[in-house]
This record gives sequence, C-alpha cells and structure tokens, in this order.
Amino acid sequence: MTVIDPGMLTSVQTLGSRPCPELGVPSAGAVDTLSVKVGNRLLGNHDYDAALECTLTGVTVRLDSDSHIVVTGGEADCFLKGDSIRAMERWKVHKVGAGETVQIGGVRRGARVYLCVRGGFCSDRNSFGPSTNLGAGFGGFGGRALRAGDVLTFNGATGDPPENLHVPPMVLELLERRTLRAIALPMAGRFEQEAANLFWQSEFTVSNQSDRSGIRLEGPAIPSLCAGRMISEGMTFGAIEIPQSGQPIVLGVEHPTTGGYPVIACVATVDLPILGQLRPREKVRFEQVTVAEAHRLLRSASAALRRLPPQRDYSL
Amino acid sequence: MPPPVPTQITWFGDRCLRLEFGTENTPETRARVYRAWEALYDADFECRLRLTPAYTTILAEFDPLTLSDPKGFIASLFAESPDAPAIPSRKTVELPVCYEAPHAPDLESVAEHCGLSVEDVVRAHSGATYEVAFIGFMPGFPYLVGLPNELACPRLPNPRLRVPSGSVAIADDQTGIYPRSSAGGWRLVGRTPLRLFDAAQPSPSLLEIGDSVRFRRITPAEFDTLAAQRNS
Repeated sequence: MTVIDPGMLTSVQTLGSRPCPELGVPSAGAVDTLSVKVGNRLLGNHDYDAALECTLTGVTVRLDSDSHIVVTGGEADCFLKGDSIRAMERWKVHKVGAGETVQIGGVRRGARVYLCVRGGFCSDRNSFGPSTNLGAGFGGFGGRALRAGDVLTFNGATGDPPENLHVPPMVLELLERRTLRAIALPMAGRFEQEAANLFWQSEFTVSNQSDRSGIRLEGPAIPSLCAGRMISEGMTFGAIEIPQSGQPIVLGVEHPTTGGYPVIACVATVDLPILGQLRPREKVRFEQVTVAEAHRLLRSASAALRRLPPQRDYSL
Repeated sequence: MPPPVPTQITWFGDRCLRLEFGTENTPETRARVYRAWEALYDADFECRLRLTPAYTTILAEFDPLTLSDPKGFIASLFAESPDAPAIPSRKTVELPVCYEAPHAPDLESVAEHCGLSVEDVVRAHSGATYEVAFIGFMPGFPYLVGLPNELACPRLPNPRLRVPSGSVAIADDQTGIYPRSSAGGWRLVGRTPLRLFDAAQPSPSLLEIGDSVRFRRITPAEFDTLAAQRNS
C-alpha cells in the first residue's frame, strides 16, 4: 500500500504496545482502541493487528495488491477509485483490487478514522511492540507519522475474511457519548468540595491544543489546594490533571508516565475510546461513577463485543 | 529484611491502585519505594501489573476484567516476596557533560538566583553524586536526587518550546536529563552528548531506577567529538 496523501497526521497503531512505565514509556497505541478492535474483528484479524490512525483530515492510499479493508472510527466520506468511483460504507468490509485508491475525506464527526487491512500492517521491531510512539520517535513506521510516498506492507492472510458479521450497536452508541464516566480521587489536601462540585457540574470545551499526549479542556477554572504542584507520581491514560490555570488536562495514550499536578478524577476504562473521538471545540461533561459501577460497565461492554468474536487461529 | 508494605492503598480510577510509602520525599521513603518496587516487579512473573515507581508512590495498573481482586493480589505478591537485601545493588554511570555555551543557556540565571559564580555552580553540580529516584515524564528521563542544596532553583516562568536532547537541567531540588528534544520548563545548565534512550537496544534506557550518576566536565570540542562518535 502506498501513501498518496497522509492528511495532517496518520500513523501505524495497535491496541497498545508493551508499556514500560519504569523506563518512562507509556502504552501509546491507538487512542480509540474500540474502533481498531472492531475493525480487526470484522476482517478476521487478531485484536492486536496494526491499523492506520488518521486524524481529522483523512487520508488517501493506493493498494498495490488485492486485499480487504474496513474503515472504522469517526464519520467521513470514503471512496474507492479504480475504473469507477464507488462510495464505501464505514464499518463494512470491502474487497479492494491492486491499483485502486482509497480516499477518506475530512472527519465530520469524531476526530479519528481507522483504516484496517486484512492481516494487519507490518511495523518496526523494537523493545516495546508495533505501535508508533510519535513523541519518543519509535515503533510503527520509522517511529514517525506517515508521509506521501511511504510504502506499507501487510502481513499475509490467506482466504477471505468472515462474512455476516455485524457491529454491535453498543460500539457506535459508546463512541457518540460526550458525557464521560469517571471515578473521583481522594480530595484531602488537593481540592475542596466546592472545587469538586464545580468540576462535576460544569461543561468543558475541547481545546485546539489537544493531541495524543493529552486533551486540554476549557471551562470554569477549578481551584486546587496545592498551587498546581505536588510531589511527582505515576500517571495513567485518562487521568484528569488540574494544573495551576485550573483548566483540566485529560491525559492521552502518549502521556508523561509521571506528573506533578493534582488529579481530580480518572475517566472510566470503558469510556477511554471516546477520548480518541473528541474533536476541538466539542463540549464534554463528566459523570461520577464508583469503581464497582465502572467495572460493571466495562464487563457489559466487553460482553456486547463477544457477538463479534476475535480471531483465535494463530497460524494466520 | 522483608519488603516494605504500603502505608496506604487507594484506587486511582478503575484500573490502577496507588500505593503510598510515605508523605514526604525523603531518602527513607524513596528507599521503601525502591525496595517495594523491586519486590513486586520480581514476584509478578505473570506480568499482570504495570508499575510506575516515583518519589513516594508506586502506581500499579492492571486489567480489571482479568484481575478481580487486585488488592489481594498485590498483598500476596508482598507476602510471597523473599527478603530483599537492605542495600540493593546498583550500577554507577559517569556522564560527560559540557557546562559551556551553547549547551548551558540557563547557567547564568541559576548562578544569579543562587548568589554564586558560574564556576561555583558548575563545580558543585559536577562534584556531587546523584541517585536515579525513578525514570518518568518521557522515555529515559531520569529524576536525579542529590543536588547540592545551594543549587536549588525554581522552574523557568515560561517553559521553552524546544529543549535540545541531552540537556542537563535543574528544577527545585531535582536535576534531570532530557533524553529527547521536547518542550520543558527546567533550567538548562549543561548537555551530555550520550544517548540516554534507544528503543532499538535490548536495554533501551541508559539509566535505571536506583543507579548512581556522576557528571564529568567536558569542553565543547570534546562534546562535538563524542556526539560525532554517537552518530556514526
């Protein structure tokens, strides 16, 4: 597959690499893991096969051999151009012939589109696995975003992908949620009750200054008791930091592994894929759930995905 | 001595537990964190936990769908852990550092803040022995403790958009090294030509938690020679 136009930011990503937080290496990988997982399952791939993550502006690629592809994630116009031009439905497997061009337009809803291919994309070998860590410059394709002219190969998979698979309604419902479920952290010495109330009751706007390392939010300033800084400690994808400005930062997949800002809450694991679909200027809110409720939500989402079985044949 | 157990365990979201070993960043607390981290890391041979050690805490991340009782699991790892040596073995790394222009843009502001001459700052910084408290922030970034008290200096009021890779920097009572160019608010007092992190190597990070670090003064010419060797 040859990249004709990579758009503003396209990279090779999987469900996540082998994280080494003791060496400062976060999991990286796709921000919206749900779209990658569903795309791979529709194609009969393994869950951890690599896909292309395209941000906001879409991507154009040319297939150099016959293959099957599927486009998942945000809403965008997709076309297949060969002898004729065909509109290509998202979340459906399409057979593509050598020489045909796949054109994915600007993302209209959501922020990221995933292009998955039968067999998954090949990527660089390193200590941490196949995903691109763009900040640290390793993994994926040369440790960087794709450029026009790059030639990607994919792992061979024989036969056709499974047929009659349907995307569970839960997937699209979840990715369209803009009220993120989150777990409150202990407030002692960090926040007063009033600050916490302000956080849980307010609506925030996604800032333009958001990327794979974090999503900056704009809204009422949330005051903290530690003047914005504490003793540095371990951080995780989805932790919501409150810096001195009071404007929350939701940590992304390429987050710093440690940080010194107080954390007011963490986005529930079930809702993390939504972070990959938040687009600049969109409004978000947070809804408080307990740890037990968050686990229940995760189990139920995981059960809904069982109707789309993962590939378990490792000879592929 | 058995490994130290956390003084407090709290949920940090729905897939992390925050293990606290003290509230103050003291050598005793850091030693407890280090020994507890080593014990957990060694005992968790199924790799069910991802552990992020820091000054006073360890963040333990896991898959909540497959680990239903993480608190019990962590307690069992501590219980099964053999007695650790009181003083863990560490390697000592000597890093060449150039404390001269153009590699030390904030040296004068640090000297001014501390009421010292530039030479005093360089002599004190390169004369101390540091310990890697943990690797954090970005791949391979060491948080070094052991900065002489007289060199403590706050962060820049406005962070730089681009700090060159290898920059040796000061923030409050810590010193650290940027493995890769990035934005950053620490004050830059020197630069090492060595590569601190290379994902293609079997041991990607030059420094690891618990290592001792010393800085050796080099000239800009030596810096250029070593940098050229690194890139060849």
